Amino acid sequence: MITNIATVLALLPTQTRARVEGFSRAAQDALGHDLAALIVYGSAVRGGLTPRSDVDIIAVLRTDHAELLRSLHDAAAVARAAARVDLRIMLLDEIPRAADVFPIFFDDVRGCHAVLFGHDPFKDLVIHDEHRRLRVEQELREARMALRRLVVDHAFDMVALRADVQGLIKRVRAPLHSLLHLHDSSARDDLVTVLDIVGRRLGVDTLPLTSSDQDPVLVADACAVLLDKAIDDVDQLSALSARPDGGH
Amino acid sequence: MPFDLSTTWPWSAPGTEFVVAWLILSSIFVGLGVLVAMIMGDVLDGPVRGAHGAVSAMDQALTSVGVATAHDTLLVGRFPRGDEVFVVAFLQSRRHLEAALWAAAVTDGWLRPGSDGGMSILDDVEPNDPILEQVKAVLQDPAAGATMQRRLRAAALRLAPSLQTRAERMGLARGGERRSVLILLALVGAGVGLGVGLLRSVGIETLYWLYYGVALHVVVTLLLVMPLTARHRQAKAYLRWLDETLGAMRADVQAGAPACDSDVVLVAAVDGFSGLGSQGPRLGVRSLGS
Repeated sequence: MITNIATVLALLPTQTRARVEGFSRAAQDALGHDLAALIVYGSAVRGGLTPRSDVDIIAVLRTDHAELLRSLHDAAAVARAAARVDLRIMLLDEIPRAADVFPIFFDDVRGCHAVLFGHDPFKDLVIHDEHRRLRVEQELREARMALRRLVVDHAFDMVALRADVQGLIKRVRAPLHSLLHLHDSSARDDLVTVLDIVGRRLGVDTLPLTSSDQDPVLVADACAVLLDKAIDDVDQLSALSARPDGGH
Repeated sequence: MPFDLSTTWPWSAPGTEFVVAWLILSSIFVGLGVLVAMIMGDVLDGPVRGAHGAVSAMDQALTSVGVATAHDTLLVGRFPRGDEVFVVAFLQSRRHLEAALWAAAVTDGWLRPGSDGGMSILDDVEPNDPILEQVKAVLQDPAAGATMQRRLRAAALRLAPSLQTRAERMGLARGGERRSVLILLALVGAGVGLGVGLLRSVGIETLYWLYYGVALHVVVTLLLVMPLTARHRQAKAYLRWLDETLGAMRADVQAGAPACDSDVVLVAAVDGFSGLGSQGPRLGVRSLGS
């Protein structure tokens, strides 16, 4: 979903908006024709931006020689210091070629972004389900391993456990949304919606994952159950796609 | 009799009334003198330059961000690079310089808070910057001061002349000659106020204690004029811009979640020790008695 940039900017805090617009101007001045596009994505577009949130921006360049990248230093440094702008730099011709290894990230960007400058490089991007499925499985398994480690590390620190498990739940929002996509669901990609639909689909109570006053141990347990069932689900998709007819 | 002011107000006023009038008049003249010196200072400094050239008041507002240039100076829109952060701290104040040096020493890895609340200097860790090499030498030198706080102050004082020279070279500080001219300019204004008091003091011996007031007036004037004439227009604009720019970085450092160590040093340079927030214990700030 492409969101109108004016709408996105209007929803940002005044100072953040000024910095984002300032960064756009400075990047255009510094990079000139070599700047193909500036894309805003993440919570700034999706909603839910907090004072501690990053403002995620992708700068899409036509070339990336060192002198050109150095010319972006001050604009990027100022934007980071002033508004926590987290900048990713990609090449225009790199985006379609990297779709096999970044399917979830590109899905996430493509799902909700706004074009700050230039044309939209994600508009006609093709992402294959098999790449999507592999990446979903990888990220869910990584999250499962990270969760085990959190339970070990924060066995006696419930405050840290709560904070880190909540961070991990936010991290799995994108792969879970991609999992829904693999099941041909076109659900919205905000955390509450994704957890709700995935939970209903897999038969898992996801309410503890979104309520702030839950016992952190219960939240970690609920997260573990959700991840296990989601991984089983991806495995079944894998088995289906391994069949000669590709599961269809 | 020429110059006979005995019948002219305020010379003709009785004792207490004269003192009150003199205080008011001399304050106005001192203020005017300082104002003229500051305006002349800005005029002599020329327009504020930014990364794109001259910077208007609008450019200095929140939206201004920079584009890297080859300029070897700190322009509005250009972030401090490497050890330029110490020039920024020096332009703020000696205490800011102390804070930046301290934060840099700890994040550089050779100065560490000890378990006893004191600090330890690691001999086997080399500073990665010539300025920090000097700082380490001073902090290790017992002759520089009995406490770490005094040694830190000594380090800042020792670095000040070279940072002043560098700031002048960067067009961010006024040289000695220009400062002298501006101080003289301010003192001309203050001198008018002084003259009123002196004439009365000399003429009426019973108000001999006014001499002390006149002496105090000179000291206060100098104290007021010297710092006001020291800061360059470019430096004022740059420091204001940098202060407005560090919103998110400052919050992250104060919350104990800086993106990198250089952020801690920059916030220390701009905000001093008070800006370090929950970074204080990590940096061993308590050992300085701050």
